[in-house]
Amino acid sequence: MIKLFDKFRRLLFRENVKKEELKLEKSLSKNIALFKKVFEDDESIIFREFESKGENEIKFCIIFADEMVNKEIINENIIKPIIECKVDESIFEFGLLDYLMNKVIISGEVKRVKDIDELIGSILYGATILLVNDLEEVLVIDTKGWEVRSVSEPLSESVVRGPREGFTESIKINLSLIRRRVRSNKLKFQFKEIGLRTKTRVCVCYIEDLANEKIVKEVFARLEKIEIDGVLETGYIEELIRDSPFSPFNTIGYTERPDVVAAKLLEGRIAILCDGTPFVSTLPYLFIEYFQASEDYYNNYIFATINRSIRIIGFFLSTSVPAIYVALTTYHQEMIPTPLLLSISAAREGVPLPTVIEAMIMLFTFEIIREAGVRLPAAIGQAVSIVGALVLGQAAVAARLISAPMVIVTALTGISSFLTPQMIETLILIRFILLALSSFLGLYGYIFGIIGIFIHLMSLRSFGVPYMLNVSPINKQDVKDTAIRAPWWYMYYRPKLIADRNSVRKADANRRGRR
Amino acid sequence: MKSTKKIVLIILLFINALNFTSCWNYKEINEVAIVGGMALDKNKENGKYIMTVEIMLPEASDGLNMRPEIYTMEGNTLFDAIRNFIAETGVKLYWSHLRVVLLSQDVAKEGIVPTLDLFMRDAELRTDVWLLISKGKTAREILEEGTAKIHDTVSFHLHDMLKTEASISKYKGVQFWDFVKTLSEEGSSPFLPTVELVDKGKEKIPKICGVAVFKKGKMVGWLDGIETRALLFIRDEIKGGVIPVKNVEDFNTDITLEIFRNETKLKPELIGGKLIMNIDVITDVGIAEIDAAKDLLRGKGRKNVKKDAEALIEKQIEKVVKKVQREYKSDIFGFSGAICRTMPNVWKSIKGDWEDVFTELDIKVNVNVRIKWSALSSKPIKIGE
Repeated sequence: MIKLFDKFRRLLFRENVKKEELKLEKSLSKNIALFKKVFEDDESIIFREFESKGENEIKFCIIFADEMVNKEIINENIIKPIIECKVDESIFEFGLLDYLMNKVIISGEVKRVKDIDELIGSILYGATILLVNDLEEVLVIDTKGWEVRSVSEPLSESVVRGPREGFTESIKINLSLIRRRVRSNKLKFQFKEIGLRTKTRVCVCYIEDLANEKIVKEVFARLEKIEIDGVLETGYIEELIRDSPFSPFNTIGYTERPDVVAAKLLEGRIAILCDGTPFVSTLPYLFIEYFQASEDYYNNYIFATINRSIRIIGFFLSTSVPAIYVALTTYHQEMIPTPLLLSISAAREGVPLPTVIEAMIMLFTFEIIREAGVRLPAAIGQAVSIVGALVLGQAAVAARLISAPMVIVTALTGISSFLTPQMIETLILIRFILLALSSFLGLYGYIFGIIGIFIHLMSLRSFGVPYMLNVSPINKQDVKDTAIRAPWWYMYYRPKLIADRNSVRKADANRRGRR
Repeated sequence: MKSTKKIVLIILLFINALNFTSCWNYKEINEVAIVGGMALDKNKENGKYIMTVEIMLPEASDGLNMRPEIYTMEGNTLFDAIRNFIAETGVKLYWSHLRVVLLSQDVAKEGIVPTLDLFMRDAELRTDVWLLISKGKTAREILEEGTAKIHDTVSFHLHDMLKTEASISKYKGVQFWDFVKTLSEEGSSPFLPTVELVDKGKEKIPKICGVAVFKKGKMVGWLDGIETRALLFIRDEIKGGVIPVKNVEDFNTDITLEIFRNETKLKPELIGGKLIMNIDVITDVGIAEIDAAKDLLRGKGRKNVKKDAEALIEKQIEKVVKKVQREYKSDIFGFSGAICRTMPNVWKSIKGDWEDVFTELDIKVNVNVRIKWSALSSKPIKIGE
């Protein structure tokens, strides 16, 4: 199936791979004509021709994309110095371009380029190129300047305690947010351009002496293989490079918080940033990371442990409660205590639907309300909650369409799925599978499903690291950051398989900064 | 090729797994008739079983409203009767929540082993139901005429009584499996609690008191509440309860002792070729109540109370053993087990005529009552002058 998919994809992209052969020439006017042809019908590309002062006046032309540059830099740091510059003998000693680079143009980033594709790319990414008459080489000057959203609190991962900065859509700001947290020369940023048309800047970020060499290599190898029209979000990349692409479980994580990325880098993980999105992918990703929150590490470790246990229990509740309820009430009535059995029986009196259908309808309704709420303007959010709570809850029970215990089951299931927000989609899938199984095999079917899910989880790997690492087999060191969060003075090691080069977090276990 | 093998393997696994599902069936919870209690009688005229069941019918309303409904059915066998119910109730009866089974004394006297076979054999009936013998009335009448006050249903009422037996110790709840186990042991005989109807004004209230003594599978007689407590002392099954001691020190006052802990050891002994059963009872009690204004515990008082209580228990134990030996000739005390455990060789030789040995068995009762607690005060309420 994957093979078929690949073939299909190659067929689609065959046309785009063809390249036109373009070359720069000596004549300025021919070069300008060349670029005008490249940017035909694109009115936002500006061509500005001018001459320098002095005896041997030289003709120049700058080309830039209007909306991508800071015009002040162009005026003050490129045009003004060139026009005012007096051409003396030294020009011929250095060569004109070097003279301009070294003595005239005031900019942090200037380079000489011949390749026309690179030139087009730079223009489109906010650079200004300087064409000079009689030269086949061009100067590329960095003049980027566009509006970006300022750093604000991440909406998807808010915290009570912890930094309130979140990533933005600008990769530069994002990198600065990471660099500010890990000020080490071992922190490496390596860029790649992905997307045949979008040419999106993607940055692979890792700490050199912590990250597993093999995993880093593997990441680059996989990124190299990507062939896609455009990348607008890290999700594209995740889907293209992840292991087990058909699994409902994420084998690559994502976050909007720079502190989380910094912490993961310090554990030897690798982050992938993508221009244009505040979401950063981290890998390898383990199952237990679904249950870890950044606040766990900032709060008291006892409460962090309690919160983690709640999240893990929430996972089981969210997947299993409807299935177990259906199994017990339709197959194993003998397992329910008599008073409870009687009260469930009384509540179900007059309900026309079988319990399974009732459960399916209620869970589906809950998902409808949830999905409606997610993409709704805040102003009409209240309407959804009123309809959800009153009409679908109370009124349905009063009208005897749904039994009251089923409303409780649905509510418990739904609420506990919010404990692990990144897993919601997975939870829904598992929940319905288990529900279906237990509806025609009872608890037996439920256990069957659970075993299946565990086998699947155990078989998963994220970049060579077992997905259930630290869950089984239990390792004395690695268990310290799983269901429990050990105090910081007690966590001597980084996760071994991930940070294999330098797994000791600290040498002396007893240094705690007090006494 | 490889994937085909995989798929075949998975399908085979599924098919195999479906074979192991055992007994199951889909049934909606509100479509079953939950049986809380069952009463068994026998029609004397045609020898058929009369089965009476108490079915819990939940009623949808505010809160839980439960309406017990009594159905009666005749059948050649129990299972026949069970299936005959469908014609009246419309749905199959659901037995997993059966709490109590009442057997009328007539059925018990005829021998209950054939009657109880279904409980052992059938998958739907559980073996942890409580068995009760109806005294005076038929079992059916107890279910039909009895009114339960705390619970709506007689079955739940009886179930609660049996569960809280530890604080009264005048009867002993026996579950089906336990009954069968005792029955299968060499030499020993089982007993079951008895239930009767007590008139309280207009209402008739079911009351459990005493036990019915069995000799192997057949019922042979009754023991009352006090006798039952003595029986439990011997069997080391006392977990609580009270002992009112009367006329302590000839003062015509009552002292009530509450049992907190009891340990009884049965020590058979061969003295001169004669088997003697030593019953050593050690009981820790507290003083629960003194019905006198005088401080009876001062000085020698405490010792006297202890002595009187010991004498009382001793007397009761001796009395019940005598009664059972003389009238019922049935070892419900577990003497046979004690002999079998401590002196297996002796047991082998007397096993054959254990009934005769049991009737002639001498007992020696040693009771040690230790008064350990007296709640908050050791003295009675003081009256100012």
